[in-house]
Amino acid sequence: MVGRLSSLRGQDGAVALLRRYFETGNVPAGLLFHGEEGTGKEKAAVAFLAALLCRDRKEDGACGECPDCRLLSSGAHPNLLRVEPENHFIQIADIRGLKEELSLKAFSDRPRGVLVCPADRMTLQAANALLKTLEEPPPATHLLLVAHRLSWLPPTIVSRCQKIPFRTMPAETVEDILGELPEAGKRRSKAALRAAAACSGGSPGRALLLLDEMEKSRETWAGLFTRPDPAAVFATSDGWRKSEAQEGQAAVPLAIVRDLALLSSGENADIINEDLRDVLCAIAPRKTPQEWTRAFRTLLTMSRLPPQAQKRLALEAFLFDLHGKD
Amino acid sequence: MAYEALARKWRPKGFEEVVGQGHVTRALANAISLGKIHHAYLFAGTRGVGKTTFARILARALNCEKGPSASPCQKCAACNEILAGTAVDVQEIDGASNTGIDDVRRLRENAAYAPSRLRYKIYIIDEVHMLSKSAFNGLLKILEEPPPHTVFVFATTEPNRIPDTILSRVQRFDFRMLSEEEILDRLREMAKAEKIDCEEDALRLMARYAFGSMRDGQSIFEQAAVSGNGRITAALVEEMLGLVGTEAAIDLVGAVAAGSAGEAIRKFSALLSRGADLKFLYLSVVDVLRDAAVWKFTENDDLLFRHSPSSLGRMKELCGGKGREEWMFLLDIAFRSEKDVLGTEFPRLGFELLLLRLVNAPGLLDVEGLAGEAAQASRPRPAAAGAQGPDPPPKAAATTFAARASAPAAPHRETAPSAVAPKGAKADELWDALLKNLGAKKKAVLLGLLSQMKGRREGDELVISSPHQFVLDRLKEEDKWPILLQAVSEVAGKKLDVRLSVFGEKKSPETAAVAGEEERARMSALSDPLLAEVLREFEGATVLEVRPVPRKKTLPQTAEPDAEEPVEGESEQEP
Repeated sequence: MVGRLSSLRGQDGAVALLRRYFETGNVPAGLLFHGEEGTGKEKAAVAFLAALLCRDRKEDGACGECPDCRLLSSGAHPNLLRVEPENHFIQIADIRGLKEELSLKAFSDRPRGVLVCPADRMTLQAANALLKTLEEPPPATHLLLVAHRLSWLPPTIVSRCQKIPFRTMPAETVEDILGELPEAGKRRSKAALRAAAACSGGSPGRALLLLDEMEKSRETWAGLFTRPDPAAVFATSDGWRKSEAQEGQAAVPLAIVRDLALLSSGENADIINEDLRDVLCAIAPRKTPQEWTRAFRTLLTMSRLPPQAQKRLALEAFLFDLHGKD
Repeated sequence: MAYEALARKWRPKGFEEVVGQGHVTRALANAISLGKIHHAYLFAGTRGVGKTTFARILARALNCEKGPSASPCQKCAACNEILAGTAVDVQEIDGASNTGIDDVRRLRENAAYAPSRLRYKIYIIDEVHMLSKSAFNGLLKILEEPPPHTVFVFATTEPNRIPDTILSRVQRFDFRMLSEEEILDRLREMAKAEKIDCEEDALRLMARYAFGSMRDGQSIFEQAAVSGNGRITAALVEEMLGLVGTEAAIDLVGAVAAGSAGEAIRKFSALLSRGADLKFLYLSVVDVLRDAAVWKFTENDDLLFRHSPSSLGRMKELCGGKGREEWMFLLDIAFRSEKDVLGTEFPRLGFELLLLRLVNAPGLLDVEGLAGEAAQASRPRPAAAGAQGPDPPPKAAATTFAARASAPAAPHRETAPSAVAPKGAKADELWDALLKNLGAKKKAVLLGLLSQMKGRREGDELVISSPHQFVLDRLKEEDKWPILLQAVSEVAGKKLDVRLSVFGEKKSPETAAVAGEEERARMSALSDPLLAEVLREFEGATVLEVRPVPRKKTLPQTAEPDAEEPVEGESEQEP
C-alpha cells in the first residue's frame, strides 16, 4: 500500500509545500528532505514519488489503484531508482551506476524518480559525482534526497536542491504519537513515554528507539548520580562496551543530568523525569548548578564520541570523577 | 513537464549579466579583445556564484562566429550549439565522476586532434578538485603545452585541493561571494520578470539567508514562490526557513542574561513548538550576543546587524544588564558550542546545555575597574597584584606575568655583590639576598620556584620549605640544584647546607610565631588545587601575596578556560 501525504503527522508545512508542487505543476528536479531522524522524511519522499508516478493522482497523493501504483507498491516500478548505502556509505560506484541508468531513456512515459536515502551517507566522492546530475538532470527526472543532517552534506549539494524542512515536534506531540503506536502505546509506562519523548529532540522515530533504554535504566541512573557504588558503576559501564553499545544510550543520563542542573538552579518546572522528581530533588543540591552543567556537557561530549572510542572507560572516568568531589 | 528551475532559467548568457564578478569579467573580456587567450583557466569560488556559467560563456565568446568577442552573439550556429550543450568541440566534463587517470588519458588522446568545426576546442572540467592525484599529474604536460586551439577551463569550489603544479600552469580567477545587495537586486529583477508579488522585507530575508550564493537565493525564492502561490511575504519566508525573529532571540538572550534557567528553557521550548529551526535559532542567539558585545564596545548602531527600531531599542536595553567583558565571554561560550548544538544526536538537549552554560557563566570582574583599584592601593608593588586564590586564571596569569617581569628588574638597583648578607643577619635577609642574587643571574625559573617557598636560616643550614613535595623536587633537578647551592654560598659568604622540607611537617617555634592570620590564609590558598595547577601551567609564576576575597558585587568564579574537551583540564574553584 502506498502511503498518503496526509498520513504524516506534525509536518503540516512540509506536506503543504509538497502539495503545492503538484498544484502548480512545477515539481523541482532536486528536492532535499531534511530534518531530524525519525520525523517522517522517507515516508514523505516515498509518498511524494508515488504521487508523481501515479496516473490518476488524487489531491492526497497516489490513487493506489492504477498500474503504476500497483507496480510501485510491489516494489518493481522501473521508473523508481533507489540509491541506498551498502556498508554504511553510498559509494561513488553507486552514483556512477545511477548516472549510467539516467543517461538512458526512461522505461515508460511516466516521470522518473530517484530516491537517495540517506543522502548524508554519501561519501565525499559520491556527493561530488552527483553534483552535475543534480544541477541539470535529464528531462522529467526528479532526484529526492533524504538527509538527517544537512551539515554532513557538502554545501554544493544543498545549494542545488529545494529544501523541504521536516520540523521536530513539541514533546507533547511526540508523546501523543508514541501513545498511538501499537508497539509503544499501552505496553510502556507513561513516565517512560514522556521521558523518551522529551529526549527524542522532537522526533517520534528517535523516541521509539529510546523507549527501551528509558524503561530499563532510568532508575539505575538516578541511583548512579546519588551515591558512588563502584559495583553499580561497573555494571552499567559494562553495557557501554564497544560491541554492545547502542545508539541513544546516553539519552537517559543526559535527561537526568539536565533535570539536576535545572533543579539545582532552583527551577521546578519543565522537568523531563517527572516521576523521579523526589529522588532528583534530593540529589540536586549536592552540587552547584555549574558543576551539574559541566557534567551535562561532559556527557554530551561523550555521546558524540566516534564508534571506536572506549566509551566504557570514558563513562567510568566520568562517574568516578563526579563522585570524587563529594 | 517543461518546467525548468529558476536558477537554470536565469543562468546568465553573457559576461555582462553575471553579477558581482567584475574583476573576472574585465580581465577575460580584455584578454579576448586583445587576442591574448591563455590556454588554461581556473575558476575558484564558493557554490552558486557563477563559475560554471562563466566557463560556458567563455566557450561561446571564444567560438562565436562573429568573434572571438567579449559579447557572443547568441544567434550563430556555434553559440546555439554550445548553449544547447551539443557542440562536439566544447566538452563539459564532470571531474567528480571521471576522476581517474584513464579518463585523463582519453582526454589527452582526443585533445591531439584539431577542433572539428569551431575555432577552439574547449574542455570544461567542473568539480576539478575531485580528480585523483594521478589524474592531475596526467594533465600536467598537456596543460603546460597544449595543442594549439585547445583551451582548458577548470571550475572548483575547493582550490586548496588542487596540486601546486596544476595551479602554476593555469590562470586563476577567484570568484567572490556575492553581497546581500547584489543578490537582492537580482531577486527583485526576477520577481518582476516572473510576475511574482514580493515584499521588500521578504526579498531582504531571502538575500541574507542565501549566504552569498546566488543559486541559494534563487532556490529559496523559487520555493517561496511555489509555497506562497505567487505571493511572497516576509512571514512566509521566515516560516519556510524556520527563521527566528530577532526579537524572539533577544527575548531568549534576555532570559539568559537575567540568570533565569527555567525562563530560558521555557522560552526555548515555546520557540521550538512554533517551528523554529535549531540551526537558525542558534545562529540568531550568537548574532544577538555578538551585537550586544559589539554595541558595548563601540556604542555604534551602524556596526550592528540589521535591526528594526523596536528591536534596536530592546537590544540596547538588554546590553545594559552586563559589562562588555561578560558579553564577550557569553559570545565566546555560545560561539564555541556549535558542536554541542549542531553536531550531536541530541540537539535539543545540546541547546538546553548551551542555555544553562550561559545562565551559569561566572560573573567577570571589570578589567578597567580592577586596574583602577590596583593603582589606588598604596602597595609597594602595585603592578604585581599577585595570583590570588579565587581569581580567574586568565587574570592570575596576566598579573603573575607582570610579577615575573618586575622581579628580575628589581636587582638592577641593588647589584649582586652588595647583596651579600653580613654574618649573623636575620634569616629572612639571607633569603631575600638569595632571591636577589638569583634575580641578577636571570634564573627566572628557579626564582619562580623559590618565591613560592619559605626559606630561613637555622644555624649552618638553609631550610627551604613549601607545602608541596613536587615543587621541592623540582629544585633538586640537575639544572637547578648546583646553581642554587652556588648562590647560597655566594650570599652567605660560606658554604651552607640546604635542606628541603614540606610545610607543616616540622615547625620551629620561630616560624610558628610569625605565622599569624596571614600565614594561615596563605597556607590555605597555597594548598588550593587550582592554584597549584595554575602554578604548574605557568612556569615561574609566583604567589606574591594573599588577600581575602574583597569584592562586593559578583563573587568571582573560575572562568572556564573552555577547553575543547570539557573532560580534561578544567580547574574548578570550590565556592
